[in-house]
Parts: sequence; C-alpha cells; structure tokens
Amino acid sequence: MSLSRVATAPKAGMRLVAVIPMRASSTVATTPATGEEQPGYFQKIALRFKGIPLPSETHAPKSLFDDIGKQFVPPEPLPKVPKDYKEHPERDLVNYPYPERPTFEPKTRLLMVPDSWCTPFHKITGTSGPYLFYGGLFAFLLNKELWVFEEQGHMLVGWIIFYLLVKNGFGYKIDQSLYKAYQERVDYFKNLIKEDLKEAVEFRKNSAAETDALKAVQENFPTIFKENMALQLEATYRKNVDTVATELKRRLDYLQETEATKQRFERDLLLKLISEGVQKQIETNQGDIKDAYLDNCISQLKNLSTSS
Amino acid sequence: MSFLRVPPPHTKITPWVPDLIFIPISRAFERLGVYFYNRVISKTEIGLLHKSYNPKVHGPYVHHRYYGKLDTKLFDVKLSELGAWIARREKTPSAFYNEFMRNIWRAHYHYYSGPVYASVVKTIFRFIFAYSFLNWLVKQHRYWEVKKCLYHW
Repeated sequence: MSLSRVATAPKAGMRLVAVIPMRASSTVATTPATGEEQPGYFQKIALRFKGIPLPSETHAPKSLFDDIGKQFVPPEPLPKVPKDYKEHPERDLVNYPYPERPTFEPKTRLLMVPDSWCTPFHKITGTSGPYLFYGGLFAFLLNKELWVFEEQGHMLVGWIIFYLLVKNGFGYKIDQSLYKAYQERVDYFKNLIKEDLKEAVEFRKNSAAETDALKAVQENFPTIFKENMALQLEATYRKNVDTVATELKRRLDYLQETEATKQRFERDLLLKLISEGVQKQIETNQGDIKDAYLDNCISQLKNLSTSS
Repeated sequence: MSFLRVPPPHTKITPWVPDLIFIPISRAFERLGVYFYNRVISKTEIGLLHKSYNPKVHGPYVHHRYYGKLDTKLFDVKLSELGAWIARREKTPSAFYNEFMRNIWRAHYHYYSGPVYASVVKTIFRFIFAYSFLNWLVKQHRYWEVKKCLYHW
C-alpha cells in the first residue's frame, strides 16, 4: 500500500506529511458512566483469570484457560464383565481372570512416578515419604554427577512448560471431542446390527399379539363365511334375474315389433289393393257399376220423395 | 493364450535349455528349505507361547502375564529364603528375554492399549519423553571419562 494515495503533490520546499488513520479496540470501546465503580487494571486481570465477566460484559470471553486442571471423565461407565463366567469348567478365574480393559491409565505423581511405587512408603514414613525418598535420590545422583545434567537439559524446562500449556489449554476439549467421535462410530455399527435385526424384533413383538387376535376371531369364522357366501349368492342371483329380465324384454320387444310391422304392412297392402281395385273398376266401368250406382241413387231419391 | 491350452496327445516338445538349468537349482533351494524346516525350525522353541499355556484353563492369551508355575512375589520373600528363591528361577537367555518382553507388554497394556479413555496429550508427551530418555541413555558413554575427573568420594 503506497502512501502516494494519501499524499498530495508537494509544494516547493514543503515536508511530506502522510495521515494514517489508527484504530484500536481501546479507542472504539465506550466508557461507562463515571458514577459506577470501575475495577482497576490489576483487578480486571484478576477477574479475567477467575473467569468472572467484567461489569461491561454479559459473559466472560472464551479463552484457552477455561479448562485448566479439568480431567475428562466419560459420562457412561464401561460395560461390566461377568465375574464368574467360565468358558470351560476347568477355567482358573482366581489367578487368570478375564483381562478387562481399564478405563484410565494408572495414576502418576508429578507425572513421573507411578502411584504403585509411592504407596508402600505410606505405612513406614507417611504421605511425605515418597517425595523425600525420590527427591533425596535425585539430589544425591545430581550431586555426585551420577546423573549428569547435560547442556541439553535446558530443554526440559521448555518442554515441561509446553506440556503444561497444551494439557491445560487443549487436553479436556480434545478428550471430549474424541469421546464423542468414538461414541458415534460405535453407534454406527450398533445401528447396522439393529437394522439387520429390525425385522426379527418386529416379528417377535407382533407375533404373540397376532396369534391372540387370530384365536379370538377363529370362533366366528363359520358364521362369517356363511354370511359372505349368502351375500355372494344373493348378488349373483340378482344379477342373473336382471340378465334374464333384460333378455326376455329384448326378445318380446323384437317379436312385438316384427308382429306390428307385419300387420302394418298387411293393412297397408290390403288398403292399397282394395282402393286401387275399386278405383280401377269404377274407371273401367266394369259390370256397369256406374249405371247401377246411378239407378240406386235415383231409387233412393224416389223413396225420399215418396216418404216426405 | 494358445500356450495355456493343453497340447494334443503324443505331441513332441523339446525341452527349453534355460529350464533345464533353472529347475534343478530351484529344486535344490526347495530341498534345502525343507531340510532346514524339518531339522531346525519345527524343533525350536523360539517364538512360541509358554509350554504350560492351556486356553481352556487360562482363557485368552495375555502377553503381560506369566503362565508358568506361580511363586511368591519378590517383595514378599523373606531374606532367609532369598537364595532358595533365586535358585528356583530360570536363568537362561530365553527366560530373561521373555521376562523383559513381558514387562514391555505390561507398560504397553497399562499406558497404551489397555485404557479405553486414555488422555491423548499425555500419551503423546510420554512418547516424546521416552524417545528423549532413550537418547539420553544412549549418549551417557560420552560422559564417563569426564566424570572421572570431577569428584572424589
């Protein structure tokens, strides 16, 4: 980032002055009202170490030193091994019990001396025995240069400080997250097995209920079957009756229509025949019909005239 | 692929000269190995589990346990019985080696493979410490001459 964007072209003989804005949290933070008591600088440091939030905060800030001295203890204990299970009748469980996996490592004093090397002293010297013994041994070896504190021993201090920082800053969180991941892995495999057995479990749960229900219903089976059969028979009977009725109707209608058609045709034909014949007879004057008709009319008229 | 097919019967194949050399040499090695196995390997007791280990009686084999005859522990032995106790012990190289390995396995079991919820940070730093300690041990010969010049008892 060049300062040329900040600086303008200098006038002759002027000194170059660059303005760099500085920002820090102390300039941004607001100061509370002067009436309240403010903790001093060292008091603030003490509060921070104790994990107590300052008056201007709702909660203490998250820091590496929240878990100092905490040892992760798993919430669920390990599954127990039955103490008297013998794979074989001759199994010696007294001298060679099943090798159970312990939950934690053996306890150590000052991370160097195991507990089992210190407790025998308690009977003879009390609780300060091991420290005096091992401390004295160390002092003797150092003094007589049987254990040489060589020039590379300075690294011990640094390594010890490093170990303490890592252990107190990250140890608890690492153990916690690894425990969670381990539980998830174990649950994954357990769920695989559970899925395989799901059908068997469901069958076992439901089979007893199913057999009981069947037994309860079995007594009514004859009546149920008979009713069903009767309903089916009724239905088929009705269907058949329907079919028969429709077929009969169709056939009778057919006969009716054919009969009617025939009659109509006959009537029409006869009518036509008769009317045409008569007309033809009249027209051709067959057997002197016209004369006879006229004679008939005259006689009728004569009768009419005589009666009136 | 034609060379993988079985040739027809009564096929005349002349032998391949390199095979005539390789096959006897390979056979010689094979015979040597067989003799070595039958004479040496099958009769050794190196690398085998303890002779008196019986899975039915002792259960699963645990490397840090002793499967021989049980005796009183060293810290429970009275000083007058110490000579007899030492006389009863096996003082062969294989016994020393087995005991040494049993202790290695014991440390492995207590601090590495046994605990289910071991602390990761502690394990890593134990490895670092062990490596540094071994380095220190192996370099002590450099200080023997210097120590002779420093103090008198």
